[in-house]
Amino acid sequence: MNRFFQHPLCCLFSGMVLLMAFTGCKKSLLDVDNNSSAVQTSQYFTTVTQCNTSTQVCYRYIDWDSWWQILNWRYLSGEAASDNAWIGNTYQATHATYNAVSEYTIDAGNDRNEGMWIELYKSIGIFNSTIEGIQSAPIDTASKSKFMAELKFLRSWCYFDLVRNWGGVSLVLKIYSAETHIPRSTAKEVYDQLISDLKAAAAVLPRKTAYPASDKFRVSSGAAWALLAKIYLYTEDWANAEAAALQVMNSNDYQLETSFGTLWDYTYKNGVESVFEIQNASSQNPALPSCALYLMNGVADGGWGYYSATSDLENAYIAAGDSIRKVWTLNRQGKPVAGDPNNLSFNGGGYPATQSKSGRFSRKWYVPKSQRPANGLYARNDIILRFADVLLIHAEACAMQNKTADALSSLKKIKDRVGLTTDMSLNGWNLTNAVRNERRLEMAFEGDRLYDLRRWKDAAGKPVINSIFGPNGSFVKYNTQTSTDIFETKNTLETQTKGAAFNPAIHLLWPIPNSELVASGGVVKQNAGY
Amino acid sequence: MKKRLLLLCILAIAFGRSAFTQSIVLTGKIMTAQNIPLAGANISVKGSTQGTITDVSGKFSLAVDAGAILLISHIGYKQKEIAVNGRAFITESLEATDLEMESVVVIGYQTASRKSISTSVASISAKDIAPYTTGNVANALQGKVPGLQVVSGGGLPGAQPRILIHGLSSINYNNNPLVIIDGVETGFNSLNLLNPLDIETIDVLEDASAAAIYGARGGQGVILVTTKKGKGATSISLSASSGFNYLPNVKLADANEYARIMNQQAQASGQTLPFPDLSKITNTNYWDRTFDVGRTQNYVLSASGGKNGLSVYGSLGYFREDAYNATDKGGYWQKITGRFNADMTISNAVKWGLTLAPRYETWLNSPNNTYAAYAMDPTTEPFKTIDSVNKSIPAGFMDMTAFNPYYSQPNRSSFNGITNPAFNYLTNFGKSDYFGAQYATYLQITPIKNLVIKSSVEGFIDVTQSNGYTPKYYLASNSFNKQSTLTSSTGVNTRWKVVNTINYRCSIADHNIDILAGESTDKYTVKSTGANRQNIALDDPSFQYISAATTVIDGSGSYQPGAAPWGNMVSYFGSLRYNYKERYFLAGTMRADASSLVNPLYRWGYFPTISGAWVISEEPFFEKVPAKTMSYLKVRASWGKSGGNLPPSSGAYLTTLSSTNYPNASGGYVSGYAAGTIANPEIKWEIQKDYTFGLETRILDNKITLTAEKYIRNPSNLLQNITVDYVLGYPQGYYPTQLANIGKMTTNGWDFSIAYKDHFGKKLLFGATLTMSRSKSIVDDLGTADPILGHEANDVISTYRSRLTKGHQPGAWYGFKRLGVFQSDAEAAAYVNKNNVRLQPVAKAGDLKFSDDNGDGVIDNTDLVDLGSPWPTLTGNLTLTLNYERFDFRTELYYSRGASYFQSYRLNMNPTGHLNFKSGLADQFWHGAGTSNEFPVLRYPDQNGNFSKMSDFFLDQANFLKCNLVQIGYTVPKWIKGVQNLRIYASVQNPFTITKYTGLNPDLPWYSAVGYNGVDNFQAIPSRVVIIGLNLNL
Repeated sequence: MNRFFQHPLCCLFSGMVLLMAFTGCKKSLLDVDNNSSAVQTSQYFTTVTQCNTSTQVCYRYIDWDSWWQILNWRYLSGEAASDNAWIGNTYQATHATYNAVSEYTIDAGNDRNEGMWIELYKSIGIFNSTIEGIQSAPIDTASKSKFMAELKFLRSWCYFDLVRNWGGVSLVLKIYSAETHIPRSTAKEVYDQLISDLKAAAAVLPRKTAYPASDKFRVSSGAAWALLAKIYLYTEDWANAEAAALQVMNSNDYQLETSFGTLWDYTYKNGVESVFEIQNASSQNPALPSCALYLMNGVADGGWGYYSATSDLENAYIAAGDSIRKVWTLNRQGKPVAGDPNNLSFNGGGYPATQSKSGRFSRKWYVPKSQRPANGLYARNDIILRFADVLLIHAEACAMQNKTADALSSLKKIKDRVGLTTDMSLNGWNLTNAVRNERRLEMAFEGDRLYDLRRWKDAAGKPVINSIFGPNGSFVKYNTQTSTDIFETKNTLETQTKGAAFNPAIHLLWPIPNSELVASGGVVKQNAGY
Repeated sequence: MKKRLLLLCILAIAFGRSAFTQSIVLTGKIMTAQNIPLAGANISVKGSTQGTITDVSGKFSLAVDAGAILLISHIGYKQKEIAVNGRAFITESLEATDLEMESVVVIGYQTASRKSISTSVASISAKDIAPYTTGNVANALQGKVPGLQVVSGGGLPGAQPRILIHGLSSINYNNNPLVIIDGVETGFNSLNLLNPLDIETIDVLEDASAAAIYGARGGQGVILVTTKKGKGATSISLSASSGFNYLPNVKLADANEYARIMNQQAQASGQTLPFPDLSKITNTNYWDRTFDVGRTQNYVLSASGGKNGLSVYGSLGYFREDAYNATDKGGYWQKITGRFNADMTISNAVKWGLTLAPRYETWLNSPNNTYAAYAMDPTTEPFKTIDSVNKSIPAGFMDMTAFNPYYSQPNRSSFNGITNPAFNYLTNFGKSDYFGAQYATYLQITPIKNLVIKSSVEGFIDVTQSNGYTPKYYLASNSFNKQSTLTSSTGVNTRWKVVNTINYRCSIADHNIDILAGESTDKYTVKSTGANRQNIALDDPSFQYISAATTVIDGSGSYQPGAAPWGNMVSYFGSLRYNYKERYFLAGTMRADASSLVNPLYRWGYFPTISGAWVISEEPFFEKVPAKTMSYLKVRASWGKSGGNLPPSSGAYLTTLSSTNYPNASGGYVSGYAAGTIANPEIKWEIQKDYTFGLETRILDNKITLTAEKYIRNPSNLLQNITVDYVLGYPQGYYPTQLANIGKMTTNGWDFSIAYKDHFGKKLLFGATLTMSRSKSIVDDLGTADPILGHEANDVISTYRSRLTKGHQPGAWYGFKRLGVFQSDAEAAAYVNKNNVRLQPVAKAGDLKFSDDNGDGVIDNTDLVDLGSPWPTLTGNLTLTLNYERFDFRTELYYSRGASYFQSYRLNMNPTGHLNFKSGLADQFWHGAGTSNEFPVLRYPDQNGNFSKMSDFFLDQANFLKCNLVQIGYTVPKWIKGVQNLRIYASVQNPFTITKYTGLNPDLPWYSAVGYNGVDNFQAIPSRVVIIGLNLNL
């Protein structure tokens, strides 16, 4: 009957008879809120399968959908704002705000800085929304707590990035209504929250070896301990850092790959050294590629040609006699590419050599010619926590506690793999500096360098970065006075005085984006100096 | 005059009609009251289909019965009934109607006489629309309807102009009026579907008091289009026009000038010269290569007539516009439109009508090549040889199946990265077909006198089918397409609406009452599918359809019942109109709407209005005023509340999840749902309230008609994507946002129109109409969202461009005030605050000097200030017409002043981009002491932020006077038998613009949100159109 009344002729007919006396056919006509492309959150989260798949797709947001705002910042801030890398690409016109970051002329309006802030919080919002959905789902408690543990690890990862970039930030652990503003917590409060979340997660999560093959990408207890170890290191809680690292080391779930180059093979996926990695696929639909590979491959190699290594970094390998990691970290203009028999003379950025700042590109993120997918969608996984990192955390934490033998044992494992001998007589500051240098050589172009320089203190208790940058910084002096590098000194489109504007009173943290200060109605306050 | 007419009628009756029955050939002459021959007057024999039209000298001849009664009519004149009485020759004069006052105005579900209207309704008729050849009638309206502002849609075929009625009504949602064609509510874009020559009149409901009878959807004003109806004698008419369109010339720097400037920049930046030997460069003029001449054609054949209670109008039209892009693949728009309007009086009590208007359009995508043609490096050769294309592709780089080197021949500049725009033509395969129809039928019953019951069913169907093909190409190592891709999509939108109304009119003594009540129900549904495949076997036209590709990439679709913008709606409405002695008028309307787009808790909205008018000239005391000075005077006032934009999607008040994927560790992927939107459950429609005061008068023997109107409009509940504090992590939008009814605004304005009509001697007729419209909007409230910064997230400008904030014009430019250019390093170093600290520490000679506006001794974001607004303060039109014997002349001049626009052409001078420029522009930039105090040096790196800080350096005033039309017509003497009237004409549309504006086009298209208006960013430039045409009546 209802159907009949919806027919236009019915309405016409009834209109002729009785003008306004029929509301019967109106009711359902207005209730059409569902459409084919959106599922109401309030109606979802009812089965274990729904909660499980929702948890898994959340992994996509650890780097915001592999979107380049976040990945770009990881290398722009983590590497190019350090002594490891230049922006590199002086060919394309549009990167003034990139240079503002790497040259420390950044202001609070910088769009790169702003993008990273926004996307990290968006990821956190998606994790929070899923956590809330699963929390109230009518499913068994074991599944529920496991999914929640995974999501809290993902959230902690994003907060760790927030706190090391900007210091204490607003701690948002649920979905709030749109008019809410939340003031910044202290860095310690943020770290404490992460430590508590990760400890709880580590207790619930399975070991990596306990996951079935297709689930190897999921968060394991080892990953939770590894991130905890790193967080303790950043908070200078050496004893806990050592203990957390030992949890990973003693689990026997992880070991170093025999050959350093194996890690950077295009087909490397979730191997024994990998503690946590972002999965990518070169499928066309859905498209799930890795933006890191686009960013750092030269234009000739199907990428955008950003972030080229400094001669300062190359010199560090040369000084250490480290020929293995040198070629697996840096591709050198005109030289053969490690692991790619089809590329005997590396073509730099692919743009004129004079437009490349250093002629050195990252090998770690290079895609060998024969392995490039036909559809152009580059998709090696992005390792973001690996066992070598854990060993270096252990070595550093032990060195700082003067547990010389333990520190040397972990350091030796790292050096042994790349055929370097370890001076077993090291101790004190010498040992600490050796571990720090090793961390640079091992982890270059993995996005940690700036944050290491910021947290490391020298013998006088000053951040190490203060002596590298600034008008009299060692890196600045090297570039402006010592260096004779043919690329760097000739191409001044990217300034050779990079880092001279560094001010230790300001630049140990990035500015809170101006627009965030506005969006928070003044509740969120700016970092000192900006 | 009146007495004479009466006498004639009496004579006609007295001397009987049956006295003469034989057929005679009657000739005659029809004139105006001023004895000027009246061309095109319709002569028909009462009760038959016989009829004819007067020629240019007002003459006609017609075979009639000696006792026939003639009906003589002409638009703008009172109809006259004449008995032939056996005469072989008659001379009659027609009295002009009280121009607009007697004419019938459509006001929403009913009509009323112009005199009785107490709200703001503007009208324009066919004679002011038809002279302009266009596919979209809005182009013909620019400036001509007071209170209605038309903003150019740009120069590509089918580009739709924007229409603003009574200024801005919404901040960040659309300001498009509701368009109703013969009672059928259609989308704003239906103006593009309509054949302008089918239009009889357009009535514009401008204030809320007039528009609120359309409730929630009437908030931005209502455009009521009435198409032609059959009446009087049968006539057939043909309109044909044909011509060409092209771009007014823009002179760019040639290779020499370009290379000289690039060298100068390199030198200033301490770089090696890119063009060390100027004698070795060659020049290619990409502007000339990219743009050429396109054709414009329009043909309409129509017939109309009425007999025995049945009246019919039918037409078939063909319109085609080819882009001025320089190849046959530069894009076109063509449409075939049909219209069939029939009304049948079945008995005194029953009337029935039908409207069918189908259309068929085909489009070839018209690429906008303005940027590429402008910015391309002129030293680059335009094309590569096939051989060098093949050599440039690294061995094994891509699968060469179906690779056609032809697409890769356009050269890409290795210096500035721009590709020869010819590439966009060669690879232009985006083609669409649209088929649609509007339909309406009504049944009207008058059971007792003055009571009319009417029911109608109406609606439209729109079907689209689009196909695309992207061939494989290789332009450079970072610009290629390795996969041939085919796409195909279809969409079906349907809408129906049922309306029932009851209307009763009565008069008791001198009190006249008109009551209307009605209800309506409507439903809108959108369905679409899309598909995407890759890998074709051959690059051949027959393989450029979806079925030819082997790899299925994607299939998508959507089904949305109650889709935005219409939703489904149930409405009740009524109006009461009263007057005493046609002297005092009072009217009120009320509407209640419930929309499916709003949360059921807030679903109903109520929209009341009230208005009144006083026709002072009807007062007894006014008789003392001589008609020579003033013959008519009316004042009116109205208040109303109407709806506005509805929430932009169905279910917008619900929090939803979106489907997404993540790879697993075994080569597959997982699909699942994650947060997509976090919605505001309370969103509802925007609200418009306004007060309007009007004055209408005629003076100097009716030679001058003058209307003036003042309005104050208060849009509120404005839908705004408010920025949510980023830390809350809302997933929607780059800047996390949520839709809320937050904004308030005040729009103040006045409109003025003065029309003058006179004749000099008997041969020369002269007419002039001047309109002026002024409106200004100020943001009153944005709640917690204030200020909303119009920030373009690109790497070049990292400060804000414009902003929406309380107390300022929406989208006002926002940046640093520039004090000039430092002429020397010393001058830059001397720019210090009171503590002797440099205000711009890195500034050197040639850098912009920014103002420390708040005087705090530091130049930072607190020094950003309003730099002007993208909204004109005054717009209008002057239309002049001249008729001299068989010749007619018409010109239309549109003007606009007060707007200022962002110049992307200056931003483009950023020396890292190496983009080409208008000849002479670079030389205006600073290149040594005393060379410029306006524009900075071209030097890299730009440490001072000349190009990365928003400042008034980027802004330019866009005051202009643009001639829209010059037309000369000639009415041919009656040479051919059967031809009633033949007029030929020639016209030029957009022949010239007078302006000091330095951008490419001051009549800037506006096609994004209010906050982004005014960015002159290589929008396609409106073409100049040269047309010849004819109008033929049989």
